[in-house]
Amino acid sequence: MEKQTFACPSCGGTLELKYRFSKMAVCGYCNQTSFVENGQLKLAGDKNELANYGSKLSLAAKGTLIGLKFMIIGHVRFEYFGGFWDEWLVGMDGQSDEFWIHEDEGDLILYTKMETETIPDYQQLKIGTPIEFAGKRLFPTEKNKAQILGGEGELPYRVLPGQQADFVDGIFYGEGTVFSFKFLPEETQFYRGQFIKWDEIVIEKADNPYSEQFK
Amino acid sequence: MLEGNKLKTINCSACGGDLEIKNQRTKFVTCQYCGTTSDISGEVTDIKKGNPVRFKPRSFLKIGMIGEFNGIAYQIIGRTAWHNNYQEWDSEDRKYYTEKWDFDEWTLLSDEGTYKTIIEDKEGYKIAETQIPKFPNIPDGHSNKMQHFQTNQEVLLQEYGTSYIRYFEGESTYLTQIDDFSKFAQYSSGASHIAEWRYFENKEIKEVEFFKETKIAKTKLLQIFGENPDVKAISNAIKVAKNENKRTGTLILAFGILNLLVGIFFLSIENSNVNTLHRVATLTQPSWTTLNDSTLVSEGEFDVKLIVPKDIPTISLFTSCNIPMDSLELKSRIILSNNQNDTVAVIDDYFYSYLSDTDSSAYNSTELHDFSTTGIDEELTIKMHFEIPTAFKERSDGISVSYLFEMIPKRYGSGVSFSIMLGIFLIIIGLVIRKR
Repeated sequence: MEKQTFACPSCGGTLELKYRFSKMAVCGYCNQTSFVENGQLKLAGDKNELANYGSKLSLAAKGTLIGLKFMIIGHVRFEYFGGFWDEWLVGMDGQSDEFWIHEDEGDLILYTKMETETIPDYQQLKIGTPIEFAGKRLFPTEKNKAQILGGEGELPYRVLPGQQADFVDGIFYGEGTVFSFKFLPEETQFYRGQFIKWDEIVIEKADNPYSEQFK
Repeated sequence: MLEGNKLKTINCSACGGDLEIKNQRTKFVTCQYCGTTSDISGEVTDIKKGNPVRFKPRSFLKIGMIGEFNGIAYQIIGRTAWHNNYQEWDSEDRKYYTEKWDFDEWTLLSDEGTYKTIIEDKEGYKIAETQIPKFPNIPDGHSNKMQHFQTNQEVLLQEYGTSYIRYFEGESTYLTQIDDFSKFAQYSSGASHIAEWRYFENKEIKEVEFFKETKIAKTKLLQIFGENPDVKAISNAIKVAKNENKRTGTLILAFGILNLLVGIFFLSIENSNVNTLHRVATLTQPSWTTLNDSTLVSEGEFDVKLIVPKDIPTISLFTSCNIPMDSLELKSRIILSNNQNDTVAVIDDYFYSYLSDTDSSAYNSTELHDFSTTGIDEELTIKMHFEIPTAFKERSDGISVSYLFEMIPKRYGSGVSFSIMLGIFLIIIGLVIRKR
């Protein structure tokens, strides 16, 4: 992976960003969130630290995922009235797509970000009512208001605690794979995914991202 | 011994009871002693209180128990008591009936953070698994049909209605509120396939989930949770009862087999005496008298003991085969032969005789006028009254008459039948008891 090196605007610690799409980084030394803007890191929001809820995944965890080498690059936690869920940004060896593992109530979904020209309106998406979108039939199964609790590591979009992150999840009709729309203030994201099991993830190392081993 | 999680213990704010938190992600915990729900994050205050006395666990499953499913340990962390008001399809009457149903939903958490759900109702247990249908759909509300999740074929709804939460105990990452409800529709295809959906307050659907429920035997669950002390005690009690049942069943089975064998033995004796014609006597010069213009009559008299096998006296045959003495069926074959011993006619017939030896005086009656018996016990005498057409008159001097008899005990004497039936009955009962 091609690395970019920055100094944390808060503590001066060295931050090496490994993901070329990174737009945000959380300092591993002081937990300060910074945005990547014009080749520089700029302070953004408060320091935040995500509680460890006992996931087997962690920042900088390495191993193999569905047979490919991977490393966890970033982590965002979302909260809604029904609870919370974690999204882990995954760097996959030799893959240019943006991969995320969603971890929610013990379920794991490996999502790939999809580029689309249009995005449906949150209000118009009705659960249980299929829609035609990007040449596919989508069956929405869950719709809810959510917000970002916090993030860590490198992230491809701006993550601010408390920021709105409403979502609509569902199933590709006739395929049995899943999708997710995430409605952020600055963009709406569309993901395509499939359920995976823990035994499809082999974790070899789960080190501090700023340790020598990670580099 | 499987190790369960116990991250921390807090005290119920209402009754002070110890509440063990097993899941790091838990936000809500409901006291199993008083039913009070505590919001660990302190954000939600208006939470309805449940009634743990009214909604006790149905069987051996309890919060905190650990079971091993396919090598992975799961711990029970929560139980939701549901009440269903629903329509159930009756395939015989071909219409829906309004029904009510109660069941418990047990939530289990593994060390890996994965969940499992056990459904328990008065009929037994099921494992509920989330499924991602290839063809997701819910009923449109106007029809009793939906699409099969994997084939897209139209299927009839077996059940549909509303599920209400009546009680919750244990911990949860989301708020499980009493009286919250969800709608469901279910069809059967091997297992039960269920679509379940919940609403926002504005009546818009908030979430649809799809499940598959597969039955699991109680014995299997006892095995899965077998390491828990309470379950061990239950399993031991069941084992003792099973051994007792096995012993009792084996005894009944053995007695049944004995009865069956005795019945078959005597049946074979009966059958060995069937279908054998015994030559009794031949009247070479029968005397004929004219009965009327068309019929000649000849009569013969024979000692009945000649018509049974030598080694089984008549009376022994009757008693050993448990043949009622009043229901002996005799079959005769009468062969007419000419002087050259060529058979000129064979007449088969049955004669029914009613014998009695209760007072040592033979009594008989027959509906056929041409047959009678007299005598006592094996000294019975059979008289034959034989008629031939007058057309034989000219040849009657050259005709000999042979009387052959076959003794056919009445089909399976009642004692033999009873023995066989009892044997079969006891064998079935024995097998059933052994299996329990």
